[in-house]
Amino acid sequence: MNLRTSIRTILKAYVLPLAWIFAISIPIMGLVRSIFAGVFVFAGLLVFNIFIRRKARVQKSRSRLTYTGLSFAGRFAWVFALAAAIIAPLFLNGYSLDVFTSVLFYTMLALGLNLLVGDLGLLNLGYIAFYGIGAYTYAILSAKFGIGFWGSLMLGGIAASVFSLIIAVPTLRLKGDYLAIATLGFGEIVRIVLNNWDSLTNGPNGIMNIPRPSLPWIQLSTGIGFFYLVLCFIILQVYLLYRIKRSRFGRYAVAIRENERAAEMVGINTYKIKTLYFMLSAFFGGVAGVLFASKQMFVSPDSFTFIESVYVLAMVILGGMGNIAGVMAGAFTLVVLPELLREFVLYRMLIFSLLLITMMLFKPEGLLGKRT
Amino acid sequence: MDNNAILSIDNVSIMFGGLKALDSVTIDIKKGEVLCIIGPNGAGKTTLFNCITGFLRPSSGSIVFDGSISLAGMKPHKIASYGIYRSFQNLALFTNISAVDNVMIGALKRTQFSYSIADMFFHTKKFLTRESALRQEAENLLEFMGIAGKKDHKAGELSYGERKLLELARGLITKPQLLLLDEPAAGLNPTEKTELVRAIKKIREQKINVVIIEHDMRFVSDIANWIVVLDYGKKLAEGLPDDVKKNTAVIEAYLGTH
Repeated sequence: MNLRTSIRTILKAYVLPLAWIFAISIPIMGLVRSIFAGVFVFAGLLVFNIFIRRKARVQKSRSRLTYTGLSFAGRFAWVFALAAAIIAPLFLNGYSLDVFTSVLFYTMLALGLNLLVGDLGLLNLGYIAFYGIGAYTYAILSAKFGIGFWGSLMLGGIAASVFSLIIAVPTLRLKGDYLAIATLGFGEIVRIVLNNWDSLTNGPNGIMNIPRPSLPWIQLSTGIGFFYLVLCFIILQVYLLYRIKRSRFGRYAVAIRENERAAEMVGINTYKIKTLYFMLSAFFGGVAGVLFASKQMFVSPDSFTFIESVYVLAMVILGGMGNIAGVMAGAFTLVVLPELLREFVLYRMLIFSLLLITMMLFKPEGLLGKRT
Repeated sequence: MDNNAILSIDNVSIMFGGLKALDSVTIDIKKGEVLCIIGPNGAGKTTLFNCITGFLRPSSGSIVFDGSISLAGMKPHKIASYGIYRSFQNLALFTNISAVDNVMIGALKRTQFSYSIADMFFHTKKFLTRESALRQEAENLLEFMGIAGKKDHKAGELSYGERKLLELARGLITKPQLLLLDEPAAGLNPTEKTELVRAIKKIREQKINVVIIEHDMRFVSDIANWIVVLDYGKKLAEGLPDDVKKNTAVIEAYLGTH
């Protein structure tokens, strides 16, 4: 690489985004705070650029669909992340633990949505509805029928899957934007029904006194116990998702995303596979919903608004569509970042939005990149 | 109906609004022959392919595969599963994934029950051996097509000619009985055309029936056993390549009357 191209690279990778951040933030926040923000952004850019430089090398393997084992760095990253997730809660206060538990819920959701958005290329703007259906399934089953957490867990997932069929069967023949609008409508319908069906859902007041899960030999009612419980579910989910991705089903999905006509031509029943993926995605959302309800011990329609769907979608896109590790990183970033930015009080969401915009401008393929 | 026919197209018509894109077309495709369909632009050649492969439903007429299977009105993926593969005029590849994976996807339907869901979740030995056997098969086909060197490149990174060969390789792994090629030579340079002719001849040796839509008469006479000429949705003529070339109606359709 000669001098001119290196200068241009540095200019594009660091100077431009920083100049852009300053141009916008100085008039609003003044110099000192802008510099603080600049440092943040610079650190972020450093990390991104390291990933960009790595990208060229791994590009080839990214177009392969067969599981070839993890590289040393990949293995290290997973072990490190898992170790951090296991050890960190021991040193966290109640507030931080709550934030991290919330990271886990969003991770489950983002991973579930990624099946549709990342693997199949279908936009779902009403994904949070499945989370809500799972949560309410548990709330209603425990309040009216006295069914416990473990009994409700599968039922919550199954209920979400069944409801997903209602939306999938008529709309999956739609393409792109049309499907997005249809799912958006579905999400709103679910929220409005939850809000108005007083006899079943207790309307806007929600359902209270939902029991926490229990195991005979482990204490799950504390924050820390619950954190580990959800962590176990995520480990299981990630394992299943990787195995699905590297199986014939993963290939079906990629084929449909890349070229639906060609997929049909090689004999793939695209409608069936799309429906299957829709149900699976909803199932994960429903299970996450049951866990969420048992954590909060309370559900109300306010938790399942349209903006939540968008938030989960942003995690998938920001992390890297189709990239399981990336989507997890996306969920982590989007939950933790607003908390870190509490420093900025009033301007918190502004800075947050600016960071997102910057991110999409300079690394549109997401934190860890897209994956096929 | 001819018993020796792999595909019998009988009186097929299709209307687009007031336009009759295909008008009572009857073609028998005999086992073991390479049939070329020629005709001026808009003659209904691709429409005919769309009818055979289920992307369009004929307004009337029947399409019977292998003597007994009626294809008209069937879904494309169902038709494909009988062993009918079709290439597209403007290519239909999975652009962002590697060439070898493109080919492997072609075999998914045929090998779908080679391992169970449990094998898939636990990566049993059965799963792993089936996977590597499949990959090997795909690589062999790329070798057969002469593009083995590009196996790990994304399909979108291949040259136009290589992409056409890749689409053929993906078709061959489905073990088709009938291969429908829509203008395979369009846009290729002379070297690439020679490669393609070589590949199609090799395919013919494997007793796969081939139907080709083509404009290039030299290309057609090089590989076709039988030619069907379409014009304005009607069958104008059919016969051996040399006879068709001398047919006055065909010459008129291509060059106009004087």
